[in-house]
This record gives sequence, C-alpha cells and structure tokens, in this order.
Amino acid sequence: MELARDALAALGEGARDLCAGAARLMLFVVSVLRHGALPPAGPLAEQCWVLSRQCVLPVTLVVLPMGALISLQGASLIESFGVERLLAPLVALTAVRELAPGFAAMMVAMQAGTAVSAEVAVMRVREELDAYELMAVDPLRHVVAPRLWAGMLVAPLLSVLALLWAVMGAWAVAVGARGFASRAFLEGCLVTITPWDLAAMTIKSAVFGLVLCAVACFEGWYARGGALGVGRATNRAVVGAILGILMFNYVLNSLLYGAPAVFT
Amino acid sequence: MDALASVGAFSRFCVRGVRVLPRMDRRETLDVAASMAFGTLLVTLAVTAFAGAMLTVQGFASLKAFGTPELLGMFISLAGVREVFPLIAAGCIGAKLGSALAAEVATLRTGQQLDALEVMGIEPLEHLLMPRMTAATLVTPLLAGLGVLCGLGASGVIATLQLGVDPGAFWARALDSIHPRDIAAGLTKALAFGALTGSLGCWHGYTAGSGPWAVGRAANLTVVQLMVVGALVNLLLSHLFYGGLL
Amino acid sequence: MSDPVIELRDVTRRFGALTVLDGVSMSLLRGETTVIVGPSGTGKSTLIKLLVGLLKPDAGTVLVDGQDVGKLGRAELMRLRRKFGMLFQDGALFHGMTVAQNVAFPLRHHLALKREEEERRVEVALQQVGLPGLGRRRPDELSGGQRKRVGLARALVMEPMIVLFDEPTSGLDPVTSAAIDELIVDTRKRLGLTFVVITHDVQSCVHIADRVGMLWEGRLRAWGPLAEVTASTDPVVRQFFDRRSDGPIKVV
Ligand SMILES: Nc1ncnc2c1ncn2[C@@H]1O[C@H](COP(=O)(O)OP(=O)(O)OP(=O)(O)O)[C@@H](O)[C@H]1O
Ligand SMILES: [Mg+2]
Repeated sequence: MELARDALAALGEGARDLCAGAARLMLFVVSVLRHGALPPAGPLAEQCWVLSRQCVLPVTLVVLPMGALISLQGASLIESFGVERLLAPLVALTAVRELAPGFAAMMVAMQAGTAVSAEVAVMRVREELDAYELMAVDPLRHVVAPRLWAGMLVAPLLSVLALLWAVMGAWAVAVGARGFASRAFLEGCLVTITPWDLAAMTIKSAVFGLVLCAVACFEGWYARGGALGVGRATNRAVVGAILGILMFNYVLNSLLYGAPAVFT
Repeated sequence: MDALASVGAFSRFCVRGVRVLPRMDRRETLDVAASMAFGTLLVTLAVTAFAGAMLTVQGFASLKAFGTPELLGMFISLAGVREVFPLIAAGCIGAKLGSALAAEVATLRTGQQLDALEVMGIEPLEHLLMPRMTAATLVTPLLAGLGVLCGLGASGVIATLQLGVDPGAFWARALDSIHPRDIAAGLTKALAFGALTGSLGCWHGYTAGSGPWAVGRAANLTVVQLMVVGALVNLLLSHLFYGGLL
Repeated sequence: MSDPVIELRDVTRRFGALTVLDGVSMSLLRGETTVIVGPSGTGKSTLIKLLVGLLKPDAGTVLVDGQDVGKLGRAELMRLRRKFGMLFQDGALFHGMTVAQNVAFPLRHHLALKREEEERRVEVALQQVGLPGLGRRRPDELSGGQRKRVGLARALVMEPMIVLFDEPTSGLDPVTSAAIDELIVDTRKRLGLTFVVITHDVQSCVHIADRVGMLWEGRLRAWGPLAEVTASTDPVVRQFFDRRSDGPIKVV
C-alpha cells in the first residue's frame, strides 16, 4: 500500500516536472534563436568536428551488432512466414526508417546528453558564462548556438553512416550465417530504399540532433552548485534526451509516413 | 595498450567487488534499489509506451502491405517482446542509472568524500559501491519487465482502439507467440545489462579525476561504453537463446 | 611522551616521470603538533596520503605505530585507519546528510552504540569544535569555516590517536583562520593527541607548531623545532617564512 502510494507520488511528480521542464525548454530555445540564430563559424566548425569525432566510433560499434540482430531475428520471423525474399526489404526499411536515425540520435543523445551538458554546466558553475556576459560576448550566440547547430548538422551525417553499418551488419549475418545470396540481398536493400526514405531519414535525424543538443545545453545552462550540479545536469539531460527522441519520433513518423489511422 | 590495461583494472575492480559481497551493506542496497526503481519508473514506462505505439503503427502498415494484418499480435510478440521493448527499456534504464551513478560517485571522489571514507576505515566498496552495483543489477530486470508489459499494453491499445484490430484475435496471437524462452532471454539480458550499468558507473565514478569536469566525463564514459558493450552483449545473448548466428 | 608515532624512512613517491617525494625521512613524536609547510605542488598532500595509505610509496617505508603502512592488506589498513582522524581541505562532508549524521557516520559504522550514547558523543564532538546545536543543519547551509569545524568534529568523534589536517585555514578569512588555529591548539592541549598539519599559511604555522618540516623539490629542506626552523638562515626557508617573491623558490 505504502509502496503503491510512493510509486504513484513519484509518477505524478515526474509528470509535473516533465511538463514544466518542456515549457522552460521551449522558452530557452526561443531565446537562443532570438539572440544567436546564426552562430559564428569558428565555434560552429569546432563543435561539429568534436561531436562527429565523439560519435563515429560508438555509432559504428552499436549499429553493427544491431544490424546483425535484425537480420538474425528477421530471418526467423520471415522464414516462419515462408517469404525469404522479403528479408532484404525488411532489413532495409527497418534500417532507414528507425534504426539508422534512431541509433545515430541515441549516440548523439549519450554524447550530447553527458558531454555537452557537462561542458555547459561546468562553464556555468565556474562562472565562465557570466564572464562571457561581462565581456559583452553573448554566450547564447557563442556557446549555445554552435552546439545546437552542430547537433542538427552532425546527426544526419551520422544517420547515413549508421544506415551503411546497419545494412553491413545485416548483410554479414544474412549471407554468412543464413546462406542468403549476397548480390540479391544487397540489390534488395538498394531497391527498397527510395530517395524519399533517405530524405525522411535526414529530416528525422536533423530534428533529433537539434532537440538533443537543445536539451543538453538547457540543462547545462541552468546548472547550479559545483560538481553536484554538473552531475545533476548530465543526468537530467540524458533522460530528457531519450524522452525527446521518442516523442519526436512519434510525431515525425506520423507526419512523414502518413498520419496514424485515428487522424484520417 | 592503454585500453587493455583499463579493461584489466576494471575486471580486477569487479572481482574485488564480488569478493566483498558477503560483507556488503544490505540496508543501503535496499534503500538505493528503492530510490533507483522509483526514480526510473516513469521514464521507462513512457519510453516503452511510445515504442509500443510506434512499433504497432509501423508493423501494421507493413503487414497490411503483405496482406496479413491479422498477424499483428504475433508480430508484436516476436519483434516487440523479444527484442525491441527489452532493448529500449534496458537502454533507457541503463542511460539514466549509469549516468546518475557515475556522476554521484565521481562527485564523492572530487569532494574527497571517498578518501574520507577510507580514512575513517570504512571500505567504500562494501558501503557505497557494491550496494549500488547490486541495486542496479536487481532493479534493471524488474523495471525492464514492467517496461515490456507496458509496451505490450500500449501495442494492444493502439491496435484495438486506433487501428481497429479485433482485440480477441490480437491478444490470442500475441500471447500464443510468447514462449517461456523469451522471458528467460529477456531476464538474462536485463540482468547482464544491469550488472554492466552498475559496474561501469561505479568504476568510472571511482576512478574519476578531480574537479567538476571529471563528473561529466565519468557520466559520459559510462553511458557510451554501456551502449557499445550492451549492443554486443545483446547480440551474443540473442544468439545463445535463439541461435542462428554461426 | 617522546616516542615516534609515525616514522618515514627514505620515502620516495613518483607520478609518472615526476618524482614528487625523493627520499624523505622524518619521525613524528607522540603528543606533538608537526606542521609541514612548502610551496604549492611540492607534495604536501601526497605526503599526508602516504601516511594513511591512500597512496603507497614507490620506495622506503612509512611506519605508523610500528606497522608498515605500505605492506598492509586492505582489511588491516582499514583497522589501522581507525587510529586516524582527518580533516580534508573542503571538509569532504556528505551532502545528503545532516551535520549530526555526518559526525555520527564513523560511529555508526564502527561501534554499535545505543542511540542516546551516539547522540551524546556527536553533541560532545560538535561542542568541542564550537558548534553546539547545529546538528540538524545540512552542509550546504554552513559557511566555509563551519564546514571545516564539522569536518574536525567528524575526525575527532572516534577519539583517534593521530589527527591529520590538510590546509585547515585555506580559503578562510584571517579572523576565521585565527579561530581555527586557536581551535587546533586548544583541542590538542585538551586531548593530548598527535597532530599533523599541512599548510602554506606561515602565520598559522608559527601559531600552532611544535615541530616544523619544510618540503621543497621533493626533499625535506628544513626539519626541527619551530624556533630552530624560523631562525634558519637557509635562503629557501627564509624566502618562504619572510613571504618574498625573489629567491631560490621560483613560482611557476
Ligand atoms: N594522482 C596524481 N597523478 C599525477 N600527478 C599527481 C597526482 N597527485 C599529485 N600529483 C602531482 O604531484 C605534485 C604534488 O602534488 P600535491 O597535491 O602533493 O602538492 P601540494 O604540496 O599538496 O600542493 P598544494 O599546496 O597546492 O595543495 C604536483 O605537481 C601534482 O601535479
Ligand atoms: Mg595539497
């Protein structure tokens, strides 16, 4: 009974925090856009480079096994339906629609959620952000905006990389372990993925990248109180990033691949 | 070379942890486990509910294209219950608990509280780290299980209310396609993932440097390594339970 | 009254290529306050960590009460450490606990005391550091000086044999610094413990020390009773105690 009440209270509190947080986040993004819509080129290039360097290897290492996994489980699913020729389309569609943008975003979420939020939070608790302001250099434009844009630019590139790796991983298992024909599999993938799918993937991951880095900068920006505050900021950023991806995924899927039946 | 040395040090840390298990602070373990569970419940449920909704809508579209929309229940069980829900739940729990743990322990390192414990003759491994590692290991399967149920429930709601699938048929097909093996596989994966979360978080916190920088870095290393190693372990366990990889 | 409690014999400690301590030997006597001074980065904190086994020497031995700290297993080391109390630079208090819980922490883990007895000892410890009745506050709600006092209360509550201080007055205003010095002198007189204090505050050193060691470039440049060291004509020692920027000590 006590336990159930605690759980309910935790749920309620969480939901309230979430809504309040979302509203404040929105305000934050608006003020970033107002004060620093166009970031200076130097910091922007630097942030793009840093983010790609941090994410390329993890994306590779996470997506390869995931590609192998859809191939593995997809093959048994498809063999039970008796339609082996559909494995390649299944893999390709899953990869381009969900896996590649999703996992590219996931790794950006992990990196941005922790590294970017911690970086901004350290700048906050060490009063570096105040120093910017006192020197009349707008930190929203010089610190935050480059990170937002970097997320938006780098995530689509990473999703292309992730798509390649996912197909590679799937191909390795399909051909190596399940005896599918190599050429036919790859052609099947190529035929399935339309330019529109690629465009949708790019749009999706750009939005994810923007949302993630916005959450990370937001949490860092409002960090308080030394090392403790930095830790709290990273933690909140990671959770916010994950929730953000899932919500926007739902919204974007509805917009890009047709509204769910309830709206039609 | 450096990487190998740190893997070695990490393994030794884990072995030391297991050795002190009998002397671990049980009360602290329960306290930590409870606060981890309550703190992570909401986000896990939200995430798996969204995943369930998404998978159902996408799966329904694909199945309709093949002309077999009545197989939706089976699809949800095979794709969702087997892989997608546990994976998403574990990833989310791991990211949240792992970064929180790493940041917490790293803050104690930075503020010299870990040194203070040692000087007071209190072994941090027994009173601080093992309770956290154990709690993460226990809480992850529990939450992941709830997450899978929530994902399945959300699928059912979307399928029947939004997509108009017959509830009886959906649930019959869905429940038919769940084997005890799926549950065993899910539990094993979640246990492994939880252990990984706890140990990586504590390790990176324990070995953190000083200053607020170190806190962010510990959290960062933890979540990134967790995702990378977790993806690999997941693939291997899938192979162990369902075969077909080699 | 004058047997050595802590003995360092030819202790060397390196961090990578950097030799921080290079063959340091000293004996700290029971019941005395030994102050270790030296410019920033000469290994004062390293030295204190060697005493409690938070670091191991690369060469040489550290003997505490006759036991070789570098050779002890973890369990023995934990037992030995109950003889120590240590005040950390920023107090190292646990932020999730109240002041009283912080002070009670070592008691709770090492002694199974009755509740009233525990509360009494915590209150006594807080009284000793001049903070009676502040037990319910949280560390965040204290000033820097108060945090150090709580840290000292926590160090004293187990009735240790040796108390270590890492820069007890750094970051405090002169009045609070003087009050902490006063507290150190007073506590030692009352409890008759062995104190080891690290500081680069010359005034505070002169106020509290029985014996002074000065570390410079990894070696013990000066070592002896307070009067002897302050009267030394060694240019390094003079520069430090006269607080001049010109001399053999180069600021990097
Ligand atoms: N864990 C470590 N790894 C590498 N180098 C270290 C480590 N700890 C200390 N050092 C180095 O050893 C030297 C001595 O450090 P230590 O902290 O003992 O100096 P200190 O005398 O206490 O200085 P301060 O008065 O500024 O506190 C410094 O140059 C420092 O950079
Ligand atoms: Mg020091």
